[in-house]
Amino acid sequence: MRLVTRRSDLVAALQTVERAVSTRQTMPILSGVLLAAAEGQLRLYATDLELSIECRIPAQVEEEGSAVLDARYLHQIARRFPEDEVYIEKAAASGVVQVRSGLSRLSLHYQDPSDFPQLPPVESEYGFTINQKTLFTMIRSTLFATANDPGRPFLTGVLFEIDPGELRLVATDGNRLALNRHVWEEKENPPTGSFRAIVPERSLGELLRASVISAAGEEDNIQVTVRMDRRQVSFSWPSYQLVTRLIEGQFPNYRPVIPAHQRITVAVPREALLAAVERAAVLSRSGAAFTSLMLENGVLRLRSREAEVGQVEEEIPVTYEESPFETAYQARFLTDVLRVLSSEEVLLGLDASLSPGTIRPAGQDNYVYVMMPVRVG
Amino acid sequence: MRIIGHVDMDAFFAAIEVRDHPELRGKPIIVGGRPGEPRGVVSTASYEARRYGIRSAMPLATAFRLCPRGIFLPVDMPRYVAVSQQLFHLLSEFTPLIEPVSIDEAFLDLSDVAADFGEAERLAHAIKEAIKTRLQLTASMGVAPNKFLAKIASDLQKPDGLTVVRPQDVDNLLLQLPLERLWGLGVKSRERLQRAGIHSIADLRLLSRAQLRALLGSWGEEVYDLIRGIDERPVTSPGPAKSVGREFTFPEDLAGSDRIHQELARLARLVSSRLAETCQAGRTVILKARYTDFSTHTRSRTLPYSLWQAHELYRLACDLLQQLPQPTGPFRLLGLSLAGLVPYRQLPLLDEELPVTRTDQPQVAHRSDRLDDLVARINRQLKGAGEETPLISRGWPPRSYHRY
Repeated sequence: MRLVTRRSDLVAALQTVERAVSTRQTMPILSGVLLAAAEGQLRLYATDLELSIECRIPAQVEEEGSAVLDARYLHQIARRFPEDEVYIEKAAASGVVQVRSGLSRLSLHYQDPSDFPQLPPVESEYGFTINQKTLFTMIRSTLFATANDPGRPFLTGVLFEIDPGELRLVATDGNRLALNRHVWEEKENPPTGSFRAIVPERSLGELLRASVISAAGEEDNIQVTVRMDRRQVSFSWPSYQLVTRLIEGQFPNYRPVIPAHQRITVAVPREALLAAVERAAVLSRSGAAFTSLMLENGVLRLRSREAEVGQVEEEIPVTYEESPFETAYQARFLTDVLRVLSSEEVLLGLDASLSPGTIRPAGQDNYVYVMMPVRVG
Repeated sequence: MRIIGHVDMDAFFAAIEVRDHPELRGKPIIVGGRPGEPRGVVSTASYEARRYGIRSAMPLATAFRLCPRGIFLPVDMPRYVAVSQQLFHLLSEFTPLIEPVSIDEAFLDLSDVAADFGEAERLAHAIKEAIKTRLQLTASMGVAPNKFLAKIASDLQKPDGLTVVRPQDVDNLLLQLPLERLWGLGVKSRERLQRAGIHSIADLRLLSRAQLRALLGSWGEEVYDLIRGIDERPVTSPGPAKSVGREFTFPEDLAGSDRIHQELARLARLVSSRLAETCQAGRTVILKARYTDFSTHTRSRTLPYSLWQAHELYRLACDLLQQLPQPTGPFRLLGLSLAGLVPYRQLPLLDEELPVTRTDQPQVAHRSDRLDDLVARINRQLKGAGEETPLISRGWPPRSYHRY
């Protein structure tokens, strides 16, 4: 293996694939990154057997070949290289890979690439393409509602529910639920079959974080190819791919918990509501604050109390003239969703003090967030 | 000027038994396990039994040898707890500042409710009288300028006594007391002092702060002040509970997966119903286990969310059980508690016990919670103020959990 590449590309790729580098001690080779040079490209690949990330960067390949290098050392040294041109050469005789930039020279012992485990390829041809911005918005607006409970593994991911022409992302922790729906236009080559998959929260978080694509994501027309079989799903860009195992198990039938009709609907300015709930949560010592919501005479009043500390009260003018109504929610349940939405106003849907409330972005019917209130003694 | 009271019930457990079974009056009563159980100890002995030399914490076998004709009764903790709650309720009618020391003992700050020691003495009589007429039990009380002296005073004329130590009497009293009256001083420390020729509080007063420190460690410095009648410790009412828990000591070693899980389910149910009463939930589940060799282990898990449901508590208790060095027992004690409490309960949207896959009616998802509440409420009404094993319960534990 002998090649020349750019430091900026190399560092960005290492930073991205490093997220899949395993810290498990049982398989030391997984702390490495696989480098493979061929056909004008350097491929970087890392996996922890649950998740694998692959990046391809342009390179002048003078001799094809591959090696496994310690991901952390390579990344930390490469980002400090003096020049933008980086030479990588495997010296099989001495068992090292030399990485040079300017007058700086790094020799790293490598491991045999044939020992490096690779996730099997996604078997099924089932898949679809989707606009990256749309997909990321859908993920961001549902991901926070997943459970963090190893006892209920099927809630620790986001359900990808695909039906002809339509994709729904659903996440719930058992107490609240977020659903985002996308409908393809006919000319966009929509998916034709149906498929269900629960994608781990962590993998989707890494997808959103991937630095190599987040910069490019500013452009509106980037397409992502999503492919899945019963065990895995892959998200592919021309120079980046993330493959993750799916979560086994049955996602609960969530449809019945989305209220079809609610007695009260109030439009509330999103940022004002978010700021009010955030202030109300400050007093909480447990970090698990709850906020009372009261509606009466054109005012939405929020109140938080903490025993022996004090209370915060907030008022937001709203259009509401019905009989007074009161309920209470965990502050987090409100802030989580208000932070990820972008609409100017949200519609707060309420029914009875102890039944589920909903939040929807005003003027959009593709998103709903359902949350159960708290009972206060 | 501070006026502190100390209330100490007389032979509390035994007195309750006698009150509820008048035929036992005048007989030596020993409460604590059952005779023949080698490892039980005496919880309380009536004054009649104490004449035989029977003392608290003495092995039951020894008590039985000392007084074979004694009446040995098992500990009926839920009943005693109920009476204790009545006692503290009664005390709270006299002063809001109450610091419970144990199930039958409390400090009262009387400074704001009595103008002087004369008034405090009349108040103490009224408290003792109220306990006598309303609970049909007797208490001994001490009234003094601080906690240290109040507790000494309540012990001076037991049972049914009242001792008032006015500020001008403090020195006289302390200088005539033997070392045994210095509460907080363990047997080992006392023997050490006695070997050094110190037999009374008057002897102790001859020592310097540094000498006391050398003899008793850091506590010695505190003792230097206490035996001079100086004790500034305030009477502090306990704040809201930091955790809610229950534990069982088993009369026989607990072994066998089914029986262990049965007990865990019972603990989960009790903790859950206690949380229901206060509308609380918690994030940290703690399992405590004691093996037959008395080694004690705790395992805990803090969740990202708060819970209160018995089935969730049970599920986590089962997980924690597996983390113990020997999950199959045999256990001498098991305890389950929930900490990191929050003053509300998150209602479930999707209930695991009633998976929404079985129904199309969203309302049904909350039925489980309502049922938990209903069960708690009915139990509360059935059992009164006590904290008894629930008289009714839902089918428990759910069969599907037996896989653990």
